[in-house]
Order: sequence, then structure tokens, then C-alpha cells
Amino acid sequence: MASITAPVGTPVPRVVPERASRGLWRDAVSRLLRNRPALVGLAIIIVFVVVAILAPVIAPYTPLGRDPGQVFKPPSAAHLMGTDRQSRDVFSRILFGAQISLTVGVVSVLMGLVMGGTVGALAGAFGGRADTILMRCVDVLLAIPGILLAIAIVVWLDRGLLQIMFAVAATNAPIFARILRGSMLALRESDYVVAARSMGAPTFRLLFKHMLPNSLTPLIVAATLALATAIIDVAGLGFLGLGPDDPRIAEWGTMLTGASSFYRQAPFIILFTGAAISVTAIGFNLLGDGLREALDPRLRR
Amino acid sequence: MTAVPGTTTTPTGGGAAVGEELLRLEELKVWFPITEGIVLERHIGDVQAVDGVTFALRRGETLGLVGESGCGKTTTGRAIVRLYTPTSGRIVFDGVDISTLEGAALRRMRRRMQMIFQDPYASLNPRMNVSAIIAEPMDIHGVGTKRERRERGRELLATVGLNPDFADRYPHEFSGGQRQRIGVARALALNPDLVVADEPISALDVSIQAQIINLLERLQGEFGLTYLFVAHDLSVVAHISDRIAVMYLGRIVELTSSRELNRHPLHPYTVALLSAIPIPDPVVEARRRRIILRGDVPSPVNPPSGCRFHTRCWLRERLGNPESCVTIDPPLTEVAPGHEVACHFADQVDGSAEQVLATGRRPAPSPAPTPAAAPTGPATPPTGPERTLEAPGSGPASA
Amino acid sequence: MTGVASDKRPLLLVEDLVVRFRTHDSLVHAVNGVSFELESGETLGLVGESGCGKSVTSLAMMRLLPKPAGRIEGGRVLFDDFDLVTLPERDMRDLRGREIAMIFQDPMTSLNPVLTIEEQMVETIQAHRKVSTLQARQRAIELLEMVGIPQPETRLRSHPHQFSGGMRQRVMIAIALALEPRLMIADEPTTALDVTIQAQVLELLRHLTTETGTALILITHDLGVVAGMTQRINVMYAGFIVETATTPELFATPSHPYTVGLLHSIPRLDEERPERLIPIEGTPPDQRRAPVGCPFAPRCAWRLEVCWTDNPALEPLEAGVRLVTTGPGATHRIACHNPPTPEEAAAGRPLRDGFVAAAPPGVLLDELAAVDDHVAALPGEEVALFPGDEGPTSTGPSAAGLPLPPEEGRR
Repeated sequence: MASITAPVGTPVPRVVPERASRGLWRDAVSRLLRNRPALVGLAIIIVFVVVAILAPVIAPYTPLGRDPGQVFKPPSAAHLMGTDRQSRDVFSRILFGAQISLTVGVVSVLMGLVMGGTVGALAGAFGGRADTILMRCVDVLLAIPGILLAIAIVVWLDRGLLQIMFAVAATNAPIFARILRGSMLALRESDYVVAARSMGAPTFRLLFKHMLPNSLTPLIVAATLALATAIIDVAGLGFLGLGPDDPRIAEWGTMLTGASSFYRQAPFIILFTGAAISVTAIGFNLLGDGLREALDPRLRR
Repeated sequence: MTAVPGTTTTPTGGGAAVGEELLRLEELKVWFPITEGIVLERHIGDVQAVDGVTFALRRGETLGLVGESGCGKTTTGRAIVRLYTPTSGRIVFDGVDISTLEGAALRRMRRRMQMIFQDPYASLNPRMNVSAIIAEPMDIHGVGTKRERRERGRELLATVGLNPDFADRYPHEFSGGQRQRIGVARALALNPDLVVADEPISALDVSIQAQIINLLERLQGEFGLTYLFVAHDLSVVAHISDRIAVMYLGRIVELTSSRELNRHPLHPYTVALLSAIPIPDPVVEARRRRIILRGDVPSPVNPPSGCRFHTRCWLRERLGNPESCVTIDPPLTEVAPGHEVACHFADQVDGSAEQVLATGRRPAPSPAPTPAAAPTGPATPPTGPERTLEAPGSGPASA
Repeated sequence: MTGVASDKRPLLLVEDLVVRFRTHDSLVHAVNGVSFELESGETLGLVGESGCGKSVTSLAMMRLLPKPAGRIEGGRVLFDDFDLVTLPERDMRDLRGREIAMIFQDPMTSLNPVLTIEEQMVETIQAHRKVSTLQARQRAIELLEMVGIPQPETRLRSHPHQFSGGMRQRVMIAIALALEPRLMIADEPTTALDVTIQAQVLELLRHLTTETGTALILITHDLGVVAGMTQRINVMYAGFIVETATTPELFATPSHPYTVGLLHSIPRLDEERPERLIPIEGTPPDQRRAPVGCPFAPRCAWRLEVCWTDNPALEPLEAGVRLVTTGPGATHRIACHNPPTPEEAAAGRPLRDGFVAAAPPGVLLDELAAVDDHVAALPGEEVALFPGDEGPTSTGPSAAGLPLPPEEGRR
């Protein structure tokens, strides 16, 4: 009787994989690309970044360059967005301002991530007393309204770009601390972390190989949204007169201050500067929301 | 099987030979403190999750640890692999007391016992590819070069029945059953002596469960593994285990061979448990009697005095509430060769109608020594709607 | 396919029900043409594993499919001359609770955690009956007594989380039976409970439905549960009914390879010697593809060429027999081109040769399928490794990243 089953041990021809492995990031990217508002946000950001990088190249004037006699001229062919009180081309200053905003925004968020993230990760990973103490400190910081905190720090440390970056970082650090603490607490008990512990994995391996990589997604979303707030905060500080002292630096907020007293003569300056700030912040918000959806843990199944 | 650098290749590994004692638990207790207050944490009580568990596990055998939620079986399994530190008692693995071991010594012992987890969707790091997951034990213990680890990963994939060409894939690309196989492969990476399987199939579909059960049995034969199989499904546990320990509220109430437990359960809880398990056969179901236990499982924070089961015990009611059930905690004693029970009146259980009707078997003469306790139920099981055997005084829907 | 059941008109008649889930990037064929009938007072089991469509069928009947993804795309559901598929939502709401009640696997999510039990029960009762709050409360106490909750007057004031799992399920049953519905659907009601509690709840369910004459559809994956609870059973796979019979007959003479496979892959508590389980190899199909041929073909040890291309219809075991669709005399029907003989059904594997045709070209292979002890092949032929749908992994709505319908999908 012919056997209908091949005996155990018969070599089975293996199938060659047809498509490459689809990592989790690829899935996320494809979901993101389907989200239209997010794509709009992404476009805005790309424009913003390009502008910031290429400002010296594309700006028709230097930020300090005066076109004598052209005070508060409305938008024209020569000055796309008009001129300000010192006869400087507004358009160029906005382009250069993008540089400042981008730099300060990115650096301050990074600083906040490092500062807040470390605190939160330690609190969540170790729990117990450490958690209580650290998170109470974070709570204190959170109790202070962000802009007030930033103002206080800048006043304390003096004006200047670096100081502004630190101040803004201090306002967003607590948020990152909270997020990372939450992630770590949750992940501590998840099966694969417990499995690694049962295998004898030392704590740093648990942290860096298992817990942190899986805490990234809420962090990425929060960082993107924090960039939006950072840009507004920097402008806010500038507007309040706490921006960088150097008049050579064209910073959006400071531009607003200068223009606000003269809104009757040159409303367009406020308009354009305000628009620049808003649109950039909206861009980051849209992207952040899109990222949140795309990186949803649902995609694990 | 190719040699794993740094480990022995013989299935029996080092230490005890087949049949000798590999693991022994002595009055193991794992209590979790409950605290109140934020800054000054006051200790107000303990969750007595595991409260005095004693058993020995021989090399090559499969011991099933079975019980319902809150009985402490999972905690016991995890304590054995030192995910918890015992509150008191001893865990002796291959002659070494590992209960309080720390640091490098503990890590060395960890290589010899591994764990398989319940949830195939949560027990694999979603950001690591399968090859890295399987070889992680090797990575942690510094065994083998990168290439050797990759090779071993592929080899283990094949061993558990998966295509080794998919070693670069990520867990989310596999189904639940396949992921569980990956978990099994990971547990085998270092040629452990003992594998603690914590509900390894509960989260899987029925048709896949059988695949994993067969896989585990095959691997045990191939690699000489010793299993501690923790589960709540007694049908599965009885199938795969040589011996079974039934747990209730942190204690073992009965410990005997799988066969013996099935034919002559001697603890009232075991009998109730057996009677509650549905059997896929309507003819057998019609012959059976469900014993409906009253109430819910008491909290492990405040276990009942005396025998922990006395608040729900049908035998106690039948015997007219004897004093000893409430005042004296029955120890786990051997009442027949290889059969331990923690009950003052185990002899009354054997041969009783409840025991006979719990599994629906035709009554067979019992080899265990029993006094002449006449069955108290009807001689022939009547069919019809009245199919439950209640503790007296309770209706068909006792809470 | 409405046969003459008995002199009674069936209480429920489901005919060619088709349910699909649509998302922007996938279409899941959850239910693919399901037909069955139910008599008044009968208990029917709907058995299958995750993804087979048993829960989706009942949700579709109750018009509770998750919107907008879930849609009934064909068929009728006749309850008392009303076609539930086309009934206006207002009328459907009236039917729900009053005539047809449903209980789910996890009572924690079906009960509102911020309301007391009293509020929820009174609300349900008053939604369908014009009674005073006092009368509704009385009825609630009666019901809690009926389901065995001790001290019902005090427990009425409790919240769901203050009950244990088993008691919550009893409360659910009480609410479901509050208005004396004619049909109750229980979707995996005891899966989340400990086995001793499960016994209590099932016993209660059986007792009550017998007493009140309520028809019951019991949805579960547990063959042991249906063996003791039901009069008839429908076995489902991949959105189809593959076998239907009275309960005694299904277990005495299982005739579909899937049913046979299931029965041989479950360890039985009362087995004389531990028999080696015969698992069903492979994994359930990816329901994002429209079914072609018999859905069980990739895993079937009895398959023929025709099984790949032709999906068999549900037909009586013996030809020429008068079709009885409900009751203890219901005809045993299967959807299979090559059913196992009784000896093969008892053995759990084929005893004759010549089966297991290789997949025709064009059927894509399941790359990640696991291979255990044996590989089914025609002698001398290259093996097609568990041909099935392309790609690994999950089935059913979960694959599309959709919110799963309650209780379907992974247990």
C-alpha cells in the first residue's frame, strides 16, 4: 500500500521568500503617506527646512541690508513683503528667521528629550522611591506655566540663543519625562521584557534593547508636537523682548515686537511674520497627528 | 544537534542523570506585600500567592501544575526561574539552592532553565527579528560568535517546524501559533535542562494547540527536557503530564500521577474540578454529574482558617461540618504510593458517587485503601434535567 | 434551501448570509453564505475557531456589526416574518432586548462601569415596557434571584466591578432574560471564566432556557461545552458552515474532515491512554481573499483535485433523504466532496490512498507554514508546502487592523 504521507525526515523543498521582510517602520511610513493632512504638514515642514537652509542663497537681501529711504514700504516687486522701520526687506528677514526658528526649535527639543527622557526613563524603569521623587520634581515643573518658566530662565541666564534654547527645553522636558516614564512602567511588565529578565538579561540590556526601542513611538509624536510649541515659544520670548540681543539675528518674534507698535503704518509686517509662525507650527502639528495615527500600536497585529 | 559553544551536547546535560531529581521545592512561599501610603509605606498585609509548596521534579518527566485563577501556579513557575525571590522556603535545582542566589551565580543557573510564555503576541520583542529573538539567550550569556548565533537561530527554527529562511522576519509577520513556536525555539537556545511552560497554549486556537502540544512532546523526547507545565486546562495537562499537582489558593491539594488523578481523585476540590470540565462527547456528558461549588475563590490576602477549601467544600457539608476542617490545616500527606493529598477526609472521597460521576467513567474497583464508604448517590445515574450534584441546600444556580 | 422542518414554522431562518468587512486597503470575507434554521425553544451550537465567522454571524443577525467597516452584503435573516437585514433601525432596536437578547464574553465591557446594576436593569426593562420604576426594580430583584445572586436587594446597588466574573455573567444573563425574549444568543459566554465557574454559568443557562422556553444560540470554540448544552450543532470554518447535525450524531459520526480533525486534536479528560493528538496542520486561511474552492482544502487530508476549485455545498450525508432542518430529527449535512468513512473518522486520518492532490498552479503558497512530523504528498511527487493564501499570518478582520468584532479573533 503506497503511503499517502511521506515518511518523517523526507526533505521538504523550501520556499524562497518572495518579498522582503516588512519591518514595522515600513508599515508606518506607508500609513503616513496615505494620510493627507499629514502630507500637507510634511510639505510645510519640508518647505520650512529648505528655506531655512537655503536662506542665504535665496534671500534677495541680507537681514541687515537696508534699502535706504524705503521705510515701511508695502509689498512690491522689489520687496515681496515690504520693508520695515529700518528699511530692511521683510521677506529676507523672514527667510533668515526661519533659520533661527529651526535651529532653536530642533536643539531645544533635543535637549528636552535628553533631559526629560532620562529622568522619565529612570523613574519608570526603577520605580519605587526613585519614581516618586523624580516625578514629584517633574510635577513641580509642570505646575509652572511654560512661558513663565521660559521667561524666568532667560531672565536668570541672560538673553542669548543658547539660553533661549535651554529655557524652551526646560518647558518641554517634563512632558517627555511623563511619556517615557509611562512607557517604561508599562513595558516593564510586558512579556518579552519579563522573558529577557528570566533569561538573565542585565538591567541595561533590558533598558536599551527592549524597553527604549519600544517606547519610541509616543516619543516621536510628542517631539514633533513639541517642535510646534517650541517655535511658538521662541517667537513668544522674542516678542516679549527676551530674544537674542544681537540685532543681526532676524528672529520672528523680535520682528513682531518691532512691528507691533507700528501696526497702522505697516500691518503687513505683522501679517507675514505671524503667518510664518503659525503656518510652521501648524505644519508640525499636522505631521505629529499623522505620526500618531501611523505609529499606532495596532500595527503590531 | 550542533554543538552550542559553551554547553554540553548530550541531551541530559550535566548533573543528574535521567530519572534523578532535578528540581525540588521545599515549603516555597512567595508573598507580595501590600503597602499603604505614599511617602511612608506601611505594610498592611500580604498577598499569599504561594504559601508552602513542596514537590520534586525528576529529570525527563513532565509535571503539570494546574488550578484556577489565583491559585498561585503561575507565581510558582515564575519563582522557580527566579523572576520572583521567594519569601521563604527553598528551591533546589540540581542540588544547588537557588532561592537566594544572585549575580553571576544566578545567571549561570539561569542558563539551565528557561521559560515559555502564554501570550505569543506579547512575549516577543516586536522590534527584533526572529533570529535575534531566538538567539538572545546566547547573546546574553556570551555564547558563540555572531555567526554561530545566527546559525543556531536557523537551526532552531527548523527544529520547531518553521522555515529557516524567514529568520530575518519580524514577529508581527507570523501567526499566533508560529510565534509560540518561536518562543519555544528561544527556550531551547541554550539546551536547558528544565523548561517551565506557563500556559503555553491557552491563547491559541484549538487546532493549533494540538500542534504545539505535539511539538513539545517531540522536543522532550529529542532533547531530554524536563517540563513544568503550568495551565488551567486540566484536559491538556492530563494529556501531556506524567504527574499532576493541583493547586488551590497557594497550596498543593493533590499530587499524583496523571492517570491516578483521573481515576481516583482524592481531594474534594479535584473532584469538583474534574466534574466541571466539559468532555466532547454527549453520551459521556449525560452520565456525568457536575459538582457546583458555592461562592467564589477566597482572597489570597486573607485565606480561610484551617483547610483553605473548607468554605466551598461539598464533602465538609456532607459530613456535617467537622471541626477539623475549620481549625486544622491538613498537610499534604501520602495516602497511597505516589499519591499525596491535603485533606482530612480523603478516604471518604474515594469510591463516593461524586468521584465516580465526575468523570463519567464506569465505576472500577479502586486499588487505593478505602474504608467501606458506601456511595451516597443513586446507584444508576438518572438522566434528565437534574444533572448537578449540589452541596445540600443550594439551588441549581448557586452563586 | 428551506426544507420542511416540522409543522412549526422556524423561529429563525438565516439564508445565504454574507458579511464582509471593508477598509481602504482590504476586504475581509467574514461570512460567506451561511444558512440555518432554529426552532422555538431549541438550543443550537455554533462552533469554530477564531476567524470562522461564528461571532460575526450573530452580530450580523443583531445588526450590531461595527460600522462602517462591517456590512451585510447578502442574504436574509427571517425572524417571525421580519427580515432583520432590511428592518429599519428603529424597529430593530425594539426587537433587541425584547425578542432577541445577546450576552457576550466579557461582561465587564458589556456592563456600564459607572452605573449600578439596578440602574442598568431598570433602564433595560423600562426601555421596552411601560412600567413604573418600582415595578422594574421588583422585576430586577426577581431576576437576580432567578440567576442565583444572593441578597439581591443589596446587590442591586453594587457596581459591576464589585462582582466577580461569574457573577457578572449571571447579571448579564439576568438582563438578557429580563424581557423574556424568544431567542438568546450567547457569544462565548464562559470562555473568560474559570472552569468551575463556567460549570455554574452553563448550568444556569441551560436551566433557564429550558424553563422559559427560550431558543438559544450558543457560540463557542469548545466542543465539550456544546456536547453538554446543545441539541444541534453547526460547525463553521472560514465563514462557511461545513457540517450540521444533531449533537449526538455529530459526535457519534463526525463526517467533515475539519470536524474529525478537531475531535482528534483535543485531549479528552476521559481518554483511557494518552493518545497522540492528530493536529490539523497548517493555519486558517487568510480571509482577505475571496474563497476559491473548499476553504479547508489546504489543510485537508482527504482532498481531491476538485476540492481546489469547487466549493462543495452543504448536502445531506445520504442522498435522497427528506431534508429536515431543525429539531431532533434534523438531517446530518456536510459540505465535502470526499467525506471520511466512519472508520477513518474514528482513526482521525485517511485509511485509503489517492487523496491529497497537490495544489494547481496559481494557488500561492503559505511561505511561513509550520511543518511538523509528516508532510502529506502523493508518492513520488514534489510537495507543495501547505498551499494556501499568500503571505503569512492573521486572518479575519484583525488582519486589516480593524477593530475586531467583539470576541472574534484571537482568544
